[in-house]
Parts: sequence; C-alpha cells; structure tokens
Amino acid sequence: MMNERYARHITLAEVGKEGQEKLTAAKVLVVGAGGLGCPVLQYLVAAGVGTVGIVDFDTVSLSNLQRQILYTENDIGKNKALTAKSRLAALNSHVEIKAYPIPLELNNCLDLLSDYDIVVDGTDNFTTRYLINDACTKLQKPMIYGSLYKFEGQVSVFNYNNGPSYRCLFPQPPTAGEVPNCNDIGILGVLPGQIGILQATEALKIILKIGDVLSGKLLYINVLTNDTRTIEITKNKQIIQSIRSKKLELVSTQDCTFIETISLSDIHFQEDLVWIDVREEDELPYLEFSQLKKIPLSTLSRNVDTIPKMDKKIIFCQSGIRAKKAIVLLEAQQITNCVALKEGAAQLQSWIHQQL
Amino acid sequence: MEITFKYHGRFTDLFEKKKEILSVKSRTAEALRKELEGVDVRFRESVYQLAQNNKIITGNDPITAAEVDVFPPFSGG
Repeated sequence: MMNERYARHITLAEVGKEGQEKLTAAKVLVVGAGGLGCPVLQYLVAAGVGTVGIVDFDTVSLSNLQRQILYTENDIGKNKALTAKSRLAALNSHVEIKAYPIPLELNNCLDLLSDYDIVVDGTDNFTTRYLINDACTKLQKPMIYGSLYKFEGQVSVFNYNNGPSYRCLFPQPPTAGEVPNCNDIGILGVLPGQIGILQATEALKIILKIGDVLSGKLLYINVLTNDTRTIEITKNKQIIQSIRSKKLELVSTQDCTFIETISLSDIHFQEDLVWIDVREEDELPYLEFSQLKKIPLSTLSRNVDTIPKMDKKIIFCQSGIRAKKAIVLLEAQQITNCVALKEGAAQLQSWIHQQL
Repeated sequence: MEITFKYHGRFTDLFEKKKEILSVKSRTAEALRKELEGVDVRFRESVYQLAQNNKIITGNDPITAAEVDVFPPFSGG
C-alpha cells in the first residue's frame, strides 16, 4: 500500500524507495498555518514526511479563506493548528501530525524546535521570524523562509549546512509600522500558494539530499511582471557567531500592531482635529496652521503631556513611517485616538492650499 | 554616474514608482547607502538591502552595474 501511495516518488531515480524512507523518517515543524503554512503542510503530508508539527495559536476567520486553503466556512473561529491537523490526517493517516495551538515564544522556542530536523517559517511577523532564525542558528537547523508583499514573494533556506542566516540578509528588523503585513495591505490569494509550494519543495530537497538548496540565495518572484531572480547572499560569520554566543531574545518590532491610517481625501479640513507634525525642525516644507502642533519624533516621549488626550489626532511626517512609529510610542503612553496620515508633508501642503 | 534604482516590495509604494534614474557620486555600497539616506528620508527611515547583478552588496563592495535593486524585507505569511 505504501508503495502504491508513493509510486510516483519511488519511480523517480532521484527518490526511489530509499528516498521515500528518508521522507518517512523526517520531522518538519511548520510555524504558522496561514497562507504559506497551508500549502506547505498539504504537500509535506501528501509526500509522506513522517512527522509534521504545526504551531499556530490563531483562529480561522472569514478573510483567511481567500488564500488559506486548508480551511472551510465551518472552521471559522476554530484554532488553525488543530483544524489543520484534522484536515491533514484525512489526507494521509500514516503521517504523525502534532498540533501546537500556542504561540511560539521565547520560553518554548528552543524546546519545540529541537524535536524537528527542519523548520518552515510561515509566520506573518518579524518578531517570530527573528526568533525562529536565531533559534535555528543556535540549534544549527535549516529554516525555510518565505514571505510576501502584495504580488511579490521571497524564498530562501537559512542556517543550512552552516550557511547564511536571515540576519546576514537583514541584521536588524524593521521598526514598528515600517513594513505592513497582508492584513494591512492585501495579498493576491494565489501568491502564498506559490511561495508555500517552493518552501515545501526546499524541504523535500533537503530531506532527499537532491538538487541545489536555496542556501545563500534569495529567490525573488513578482507574479505581476513575471520577474524571477535568484539573489546571492553572503554569509556574515560575525553575525552568526554573535547569535550563537548570546542568549536567545525577542526583537521588539511591534510589527503586528495595527496602526490606523487616513488619507487626505477622507479628511475635512474644518473638522475639529489636532495635527501633529513629527518631523525634525529643519525639515521642509515648512507648515503652519492653527490646529498644528510640531513635536519631532526625537522629542515626542518627553512632550507627551502637551498632547490633548480627547481630540482626534492626525500624525504626519514626510512619508508616513515616522507617523506610525509615533503612534506606537503614544499608545504606549496611553495617548489614543491617533491616526497616521498616509501621505507626507508635501502632499499635505498642497491639500491645505486647496482647502483655503 | 547615473544608476537605475529598481524598487521592490514596500519601496514601490513608498516611492510610487517601480524604478527611477538617480545621479550619484558613490563608488561603494556603503557610501551609496549613506548618499541615498542623506538626500531622501525614505531611505533613511527604512530597512533595505542593495543588490547589483543579482548579488547583495554591502560595505566596500564596488558599484559596477548601471542598475541597482532595492529590496526591503517582506512580512506577510
């Protein structure tokens, strides 16, 4: 029966019975059972990877169903790891599937990862991605990375055979609000499917020891332009040594924080609003109007007392990035009712002239 | 020299274009980063990597290509 199920694998000279046995013996942990995790899990389980772990504390929502193809309308509100486990068990009852309906955190990360040969990154935030990367670097386990932006995707394998780590590509995470995730910006539903299948492919290649693993290379795909590139990444020994020698710690990106934004086209200038300019004093264009307060981001934390708590506040800068950072900082100080202006100061200046 | 900067991910939204030609003086990757960050706050405020000829360039890597890719980290999963 096993031979029949995996006949199309076994027929391949590069896989054969021996390769299929390697798959049966392999243990893969998939962190995140969302857009990327769903196709990864389906193909790994279908391929007969012997033990598959699923980490996800989140529940299924209606907006997930556009791309997270393991779930149905009946699953809304249910935990993703547990739901995925039951769906995958029906696909292949010979695979041992372990569901962890918990968040991956500092205190459980090393223990969870140490039970597996390969870790697949299906996360949607930088805090967890850096945690997985650093733990994999310490444990010397490959991390199969995938990430998305609207119509673009990236895939790579980090920490494989002492190769580069994710920090060799991006040593430090972006700051709060700098890189929005799928929930904020949208994603073409098929894209996580494509990227997830590439991640699953890398997992099979590593287990079977065939082909060229994407270690030291970043595969970049733009599905709108069909631009596909493989970018070389250089290993940074100092960074890897630093991760291995330090205690595992969380990076505080707060990139999961949802920051409300507003566009100028949705604002009435005469509204009772407080505008806060968080640019530094020497930045142009110079703006002056009655409801404006100028508090550079660099001085914001010591000027929180000057900000009215009740009024609706629109925070702006040159591009919107510092405005989002300012809101994270203000919310930490219990200053709420803040929205970030999508546009920058130059567009605001033109808009004000039109309003007057 | 003139370099075509090709933007990816969030940078296409931030610059509202997919590519642009900029005149720069820098001859190495690190100098180019500093030059870009000195003239445009969007570079200064963002995490990104530069690549030429499909290779990430850092530090003293010389700028030899007429086209440089700007890759920010992607998030979504």
